[in-house]
Amino acid sequence: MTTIGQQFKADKAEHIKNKALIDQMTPENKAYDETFVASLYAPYQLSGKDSRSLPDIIETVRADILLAQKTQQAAESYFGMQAETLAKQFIDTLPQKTLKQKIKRQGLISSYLAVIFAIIFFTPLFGGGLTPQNIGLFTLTLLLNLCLLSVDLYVPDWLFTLFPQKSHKTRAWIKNYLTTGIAALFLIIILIVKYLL
Amino acid sequence: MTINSQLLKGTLDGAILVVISKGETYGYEITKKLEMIGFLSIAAGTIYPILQKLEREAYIIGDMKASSEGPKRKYFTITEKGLDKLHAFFSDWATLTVAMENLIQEFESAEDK
Repeated sequence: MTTIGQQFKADKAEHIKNKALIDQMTPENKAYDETFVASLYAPYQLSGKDSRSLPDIIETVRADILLAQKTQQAAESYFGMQAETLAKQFIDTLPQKTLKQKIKRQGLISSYLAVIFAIIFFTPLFGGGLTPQNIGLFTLTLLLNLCLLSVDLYVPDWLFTLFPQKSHKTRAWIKNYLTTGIAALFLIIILIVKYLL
Repeated sequence: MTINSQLLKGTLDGAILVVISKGETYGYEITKKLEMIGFLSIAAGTIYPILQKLEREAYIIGDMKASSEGPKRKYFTITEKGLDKLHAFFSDWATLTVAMENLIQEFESAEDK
């Protein structure tokens, strides 16, 4: 298993290697590379996609930009399209995240939230304790977690079926508003139960 | 002479598999080989995502390796499943070619009359 220190060293080595590659590019190719990477990582575009292969894609594209550069061919001329279009073509062929991957990510967030709420409601540190009200409130937070998990798992597909003509960006916004709305609703209920009832 | 991109669409996967079946290769090399053979209208940008799709469908295997120029890039080799697909492609292509040639002959003989 990789430790945080090892991961940090690997990331740093990767950064140095990438910088060395970019430094060899002409200003025109550098700009192409920059736009390509930014378009690939635009978060709304990757929503629901398995992005693990992106570092390999970037490195391969960079290696071939340099190869084309040796024959005086600019990246845009070699790829025959703008950087944004190239990025979109790659994103379109990325596989969707599997249910397991989605649960793993959202499950981790849910677990953190559950621990934080457990500390708030059950420890004397925050004025909590094992009272029926606090147990009820904690159950409410678990329900909130479950709702957020469902939104993350099912809403993107549901939105895609409902609004196929809308862009990734618009659908990501709808999902984010829905998530925020549910979280705000639960927070209001929790605050009312905790302080007003 | 460039080839109509719509006409190319269905055949590009097969053409790429043919190139990869000749031995381990990578995106730039595949693009240049296809260009040399006569696929002049193909933008390299359309080849890379096809490689990604073929890899995802297990027709080819991609391996990140350091290139002779230094930076790493993905090198591709064909799989057994890829070879099966390639043979199916050849068979489809042969059928299509015969049918198309018959049609062209019919058209040309009608024109001669």
